[in-house]
Amino acid sequence: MYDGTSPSDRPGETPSLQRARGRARIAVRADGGVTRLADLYQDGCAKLRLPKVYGPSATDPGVEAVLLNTAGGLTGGDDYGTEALAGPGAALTLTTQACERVYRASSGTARVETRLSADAGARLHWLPQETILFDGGRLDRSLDVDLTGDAAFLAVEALVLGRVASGETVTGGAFTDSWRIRRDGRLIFADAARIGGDIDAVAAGPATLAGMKTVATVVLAAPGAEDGLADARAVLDALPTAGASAMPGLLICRLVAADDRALRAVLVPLLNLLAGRALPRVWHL
Amino acid sequence: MIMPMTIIMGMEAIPMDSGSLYRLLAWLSPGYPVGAFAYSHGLEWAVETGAVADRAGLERWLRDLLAHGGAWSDAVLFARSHDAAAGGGAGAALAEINDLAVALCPSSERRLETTAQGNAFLLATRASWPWDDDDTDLIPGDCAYPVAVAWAAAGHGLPLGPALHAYVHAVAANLISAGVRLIPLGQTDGQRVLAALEDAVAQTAAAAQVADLAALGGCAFLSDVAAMRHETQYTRLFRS
Repeated sequence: MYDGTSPSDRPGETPSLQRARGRARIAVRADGGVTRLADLYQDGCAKLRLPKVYGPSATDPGVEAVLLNTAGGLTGGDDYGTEALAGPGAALTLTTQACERVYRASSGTARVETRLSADAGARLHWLPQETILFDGGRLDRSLDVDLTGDAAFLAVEALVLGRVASGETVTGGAFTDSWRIRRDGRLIFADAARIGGDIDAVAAGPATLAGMKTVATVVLAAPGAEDGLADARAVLDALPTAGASAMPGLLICRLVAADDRALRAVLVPLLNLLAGRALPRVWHL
Repeated sequence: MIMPMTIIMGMEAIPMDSGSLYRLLAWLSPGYPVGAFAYSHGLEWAVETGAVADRAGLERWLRDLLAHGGAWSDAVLFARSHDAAAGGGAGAALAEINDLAVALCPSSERRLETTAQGNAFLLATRASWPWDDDDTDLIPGDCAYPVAVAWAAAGHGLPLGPALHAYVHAVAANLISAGVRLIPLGQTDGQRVLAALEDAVAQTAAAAQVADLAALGGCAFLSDVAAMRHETQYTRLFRS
């Protein structure tokens, strides 16, 4: 399915392009009630595609941007940065063309930094596909989000430990993912995921992953986000190792599943629900 | 009584006077009025599902929390809060760590667990054990539990090493007490778990003492899910 094999996908093999660098930046603004592109910049191995989108609203389907990593994956020393801005009242969805593969690093750690901001009345969705951490892969990632006024923000990050279908073990590597979401300058949500060392052994713990291979975090930060808790729980009930909670203006979900297929079976309907629209098409290719 | 006494943290011997020990024992005893007995950090759900079913399971669950979960992150928050408040210097840096501590809670009950205990700790300690140069306006809203204890410890000039070690012990002991009631286990089995975790508690405290805030976080994802699922658990003894 989405984790199809490719020539660069054999266990233990590192893509030839190392220390890749990429920068992508996009800004959108609402123009007469319709979201239009205001700025687009791409450099190095980061590319942005803007497929035509059809949303539920006849007036403003918003802009959808698909990030591509032309290096075909991440390895030690790689350095990627993405910035996105949704201006007042604008609607922007960001996703990735494929799952991001983190290959064994001979040295160093890949660094991926994402900075997003949404102005009042804007809707910003950060919906990358899964990150797959191969044995020995090292990734340090951050997500910094600045929201203004009543901006609505939805985010997902999903992590897969190794190629589950091929029974790959992950006995080394390091993954960190640091989230900071601010509204009007005030920190409203932070998350810090960190797993490393003998990852399979760590993930075997009853309070970590109980031997399961995938985890996803979903956050909706929007006025009234807490009102969606019952509906989110109804979707998550299909997966006993998933849960949701809410605080004013915040809905938080964590999902743990045996493999990516089991994860997606629940994650996709959850994101459809919280986004109020179908996921970008690339999720289903 | 022998004074001064020495507590060994790793290779480092930290002298601590008996007054410091007395305060740590008081503040981190189960009798201190923070309501610690009411919080299970999601353990109640883990027992409900069978993820934690016996003494060995409780020990494994706690090892995960100490190495990869809330107990680790709270230990780091404690250590850096103590730095920020040391020498009567509690200021914006402490308030910032508190904002982070509250924002890091992955669920409403986890946020309640840390802020209700933190607020109660400050209330009780300011009433019973006030300290010089305390700035009650510094954190006007909710205060996370590790931040509150570290703040008072620094205000009293208690050294970080023993205070942090005592804090991590209290977190572990409190969850063991919850496990004893929930599984249920005999009191002796509870003490066996605490004894078995002696090294793990010391290691968490020692590692957190030198860890910066970038080392926060972990992978106790099922502990987070348990705290979330606990919110809708049909029969429950605990508030988290």
